[in-house]
Amino acid sequence: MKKEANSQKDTDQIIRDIFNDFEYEQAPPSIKSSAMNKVFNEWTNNAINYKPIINKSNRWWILGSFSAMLALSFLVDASVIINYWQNLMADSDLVDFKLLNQQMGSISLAFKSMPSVVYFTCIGIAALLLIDRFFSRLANI
Amino acid sequence: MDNSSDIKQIKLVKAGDVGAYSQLIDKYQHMSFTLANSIVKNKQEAEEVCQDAIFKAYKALDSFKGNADFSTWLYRIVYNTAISKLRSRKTETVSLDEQKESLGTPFDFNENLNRLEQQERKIILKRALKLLKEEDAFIMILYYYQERSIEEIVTSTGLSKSNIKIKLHRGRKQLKQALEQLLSKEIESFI
Repeated sequence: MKKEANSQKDTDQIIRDIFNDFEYEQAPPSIKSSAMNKVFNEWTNNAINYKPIINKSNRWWILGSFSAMLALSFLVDASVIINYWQNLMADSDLVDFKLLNQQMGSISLAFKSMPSVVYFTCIGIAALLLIDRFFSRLANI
Repeated sequence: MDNSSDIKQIKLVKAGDVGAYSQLIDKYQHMSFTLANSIVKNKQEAEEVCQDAIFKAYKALDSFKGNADFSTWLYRIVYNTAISKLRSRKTETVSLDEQKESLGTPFDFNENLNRLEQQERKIILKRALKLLKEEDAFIMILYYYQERSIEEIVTSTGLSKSNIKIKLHRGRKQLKQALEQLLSKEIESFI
């Protein structure tokens, strides 16, 4: 039993040694050219489906972030909007514009008290994210 | 190039850069051809097998999840394509048992092997591998040349672990026999 195991080990070692001299065979160049021809044919035969840069799910958050940015830029000077409402002289019993004006005013004051660098940073980050997403989408087309 | 760079190439191919696939072909065509030839034992058919396997791999690229190396996955396609090719034709195999009878007196295998030049040993090994059964030669190359583990060979062939071990054992024995036969012939020709 032991002798057989030793003989197996020897055979294994001999084969291992002789495989040190083994070299794979060189594939004929026709393999690559033919395979690539088939690949290109397959690729061109397949219908190319362009994914829209902004798909349905992305559309909403882009729209939302755009409106938020727009609102943010307006809130820098929300008194403009308040004045606009006052100028409109909206006359409605349903909406209490006085209260709305007060609230808008307080929000605008809160935003106004923030340093402008915060706005620029937020806008910058959002813009970077958008640009990054846009280019990664372009790369995948 | 390791598996991570293969995965990068595959991502590029999937993203539409078909040209990136040619780099994968460059990397694996020679080994694929060698493995295909070890099964079909005919260069022209090995070429066809290799082309088919590479194209099949491209078509099935979406199913490659990266759990195993790309090469292991590709060699499995090569293996399956070569086996299909083999089944489609009747093979004329040289029986080692028949040849065994023609063997002369036993001689020192190691000593004679060492007498040969490196180039001659290469040729003798290639000829000996041709005498092995198709699957055995494929497994021997993966195990001894590519130094793949038994688990990886299981992935590359779809055979069971115990089956691989049996085939390795049989392959070793037969390869030694084949080498002995070829060496004795070589020595005789010298004399």
